Amino acid sequence: MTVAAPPALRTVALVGNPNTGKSTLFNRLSGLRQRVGNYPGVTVERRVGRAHLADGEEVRVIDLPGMRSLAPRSPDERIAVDVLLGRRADTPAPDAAVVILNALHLEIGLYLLLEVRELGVPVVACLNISDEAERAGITIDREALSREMGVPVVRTVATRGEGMDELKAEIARATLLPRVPPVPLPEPLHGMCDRLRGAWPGTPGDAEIADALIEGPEADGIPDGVREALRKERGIETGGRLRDLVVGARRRRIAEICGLAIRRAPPDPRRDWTRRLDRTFTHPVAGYAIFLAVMALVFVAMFWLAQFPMDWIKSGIAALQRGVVAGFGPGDLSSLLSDGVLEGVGAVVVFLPQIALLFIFLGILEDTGYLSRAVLLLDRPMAAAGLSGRGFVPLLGSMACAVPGVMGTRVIPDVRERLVTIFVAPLMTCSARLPVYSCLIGVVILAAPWVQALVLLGLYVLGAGSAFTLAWVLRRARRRPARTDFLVELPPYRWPTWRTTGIQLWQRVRAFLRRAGTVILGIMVLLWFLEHHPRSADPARQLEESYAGRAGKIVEPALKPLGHNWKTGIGILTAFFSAREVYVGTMGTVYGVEGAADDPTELKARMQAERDPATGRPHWTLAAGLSLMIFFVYAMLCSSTVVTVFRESGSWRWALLQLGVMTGLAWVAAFAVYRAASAAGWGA
Amino acid sequence: MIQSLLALALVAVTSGWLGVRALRLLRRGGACSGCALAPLRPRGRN
Repeated sequence: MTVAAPPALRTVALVGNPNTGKSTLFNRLSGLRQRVGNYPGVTVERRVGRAHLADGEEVRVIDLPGMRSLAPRSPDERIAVDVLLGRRADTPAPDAAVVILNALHLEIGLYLLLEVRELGVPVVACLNISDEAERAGITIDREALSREMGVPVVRTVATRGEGMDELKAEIARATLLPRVPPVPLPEPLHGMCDRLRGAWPGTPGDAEIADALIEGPEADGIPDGVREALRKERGIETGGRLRDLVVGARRRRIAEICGLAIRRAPPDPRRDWTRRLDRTFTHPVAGYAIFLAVMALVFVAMFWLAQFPMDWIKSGIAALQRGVVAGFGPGDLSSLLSDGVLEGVGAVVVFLPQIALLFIFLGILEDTGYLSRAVLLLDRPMAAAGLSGRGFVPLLGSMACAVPGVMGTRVIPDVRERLVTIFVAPLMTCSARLPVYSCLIGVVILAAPWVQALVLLGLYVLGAGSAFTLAWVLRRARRRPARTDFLVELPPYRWPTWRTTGIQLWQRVRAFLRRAGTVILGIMVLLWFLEHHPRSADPARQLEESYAGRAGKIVEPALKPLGHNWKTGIGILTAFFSAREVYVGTMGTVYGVEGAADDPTELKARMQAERDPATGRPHWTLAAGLSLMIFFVYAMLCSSTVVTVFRESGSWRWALLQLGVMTGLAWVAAFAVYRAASAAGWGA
Repeated sequence: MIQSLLALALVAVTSGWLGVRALRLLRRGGACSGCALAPLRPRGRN
């Protein structure tokens, strides 16, 4: 008996300019049936999901990075083009492409639609954000658009799921159509591209070679080996004439199509909320005040709301610890599981509600369109620091984690500016610092949640301010960089969609828990061993005489002037060899070793109860807490970032210089703060 | 006694695993928790 092989899974690529609602549409199509990763070898996010079409057929959906045209200018645009052309071995060539157009700015999106259609792949055009376009008085004649472009056009509002059935039906039809040969470029460009293809590394598309011919051999991003061939091939042709042949022709065609398909009603000034709000939110003075107030509110709400779930997690972990001790009885294994794994991992996991709330609030701010205004505001201080707009995205990304931030500096063409951006990126407050700050604030700032939130906001501002200041110092030695174009699209204000925020939140929570359950757990197991060996005859001196305690004692002389002892030394060492949040886990186990195995006192209370053996005074004073927080603002306690800087800058020299400068800065700043705070009477 | 042996075995296996991870980090570069936690997906804004 023979069994028919199941039909191969068809693939659909989602293509569109940035801010067309592409990711929302992707989430609508694939729901939770999606995987997020990276394209191998690069930091470009790879999102692949599965969608069920109307006839029950399942298709693979690839959400490509946003791009403006098929001539790639950045690594993520290059990936998008390669996937679309079926040139990546790790991703199947798409059977159809859905080009998502922002109905508010149809003219911009049509350029990409024309290019994708010319590739010969079956295309479905998706008029997204149609509700806002209609409210803005824009009427699009879908039939005319479909007739002129030669592709089906579907009206969608991805945020509300409108038009999804029609879109799925059109996708089903398109995936059955065969690919047709690509539309050749007009002569003489077509011939020029054909002759140049041999000289080009890899397998470039026509759009890429044509773009190089138009921009000329001196333009950025052209492989060095082909510049001469390009110069020769271009001969007497000028970029302007070649541009007109392709870009000009497409623009004229778009103008023609828009004339036929778009009708605009005169704008209604009463409904023009977006413009009025923008005047306030991007105001040179009020804008910054509002931004700080919004962020302060976010942090206050985060601190206040997180208390409850944090208490539940704490009691859950304590119950688990009691269960382990009762189940296994006293012994090494029960100590490892209770004092090592549960205590250490629990100390980090307890901050999950705060991280989740921060991401919920940031997700809402992003969805409403406010975050784009904040981006615009922050461009000004960056320009003053001598960083161009292109450095903005890597620095912003560093607020989640410096590793993708440092990798993201590849978009900066100026080498020196790129190195400066790499240098200052780890000063932006990454999410791994949040558990550390929260833990220390809880221990030493004994005030209402809003005061604690303001301290946290201050640490974020200090991190960003220091990054900009250091960039300014480093750039001052050289000429100011030429400002590269920085384009922020300001989407109209809208209500957040819970679905998008929810899916993003789930992915982030899962990543945090996975890390806590793997690397942090592993380090806690190792740390338990180092804290409990060699065995001390005096249980009270176990930690001090252990391997971990001895290592802490080695760095203690450097920490004494900052108001800290060897216990913090252990935490800083483990954080340095792994990542910052491990400090909190380490404190959990360090203070756990000294308590009884089933001691229900939480970490905060144990830290507060610690006394200086020499003076008998509390160890965790406000001055000591502040000095350590400042230390964490500046210190490079993250081995992943050090390795990434080495790989991205191409030399250990830069990575070690950065490590040295940041450590020195951290020590001096923490020392100054400790001295000043002690002088102010906060050291007792 | 059995508890001590089990604990030591667990420590040994974990150390080996962490060592492999560290080597992989040096060879291929790595990422910390924040990667997947990025509050903003800064794609295509430049």
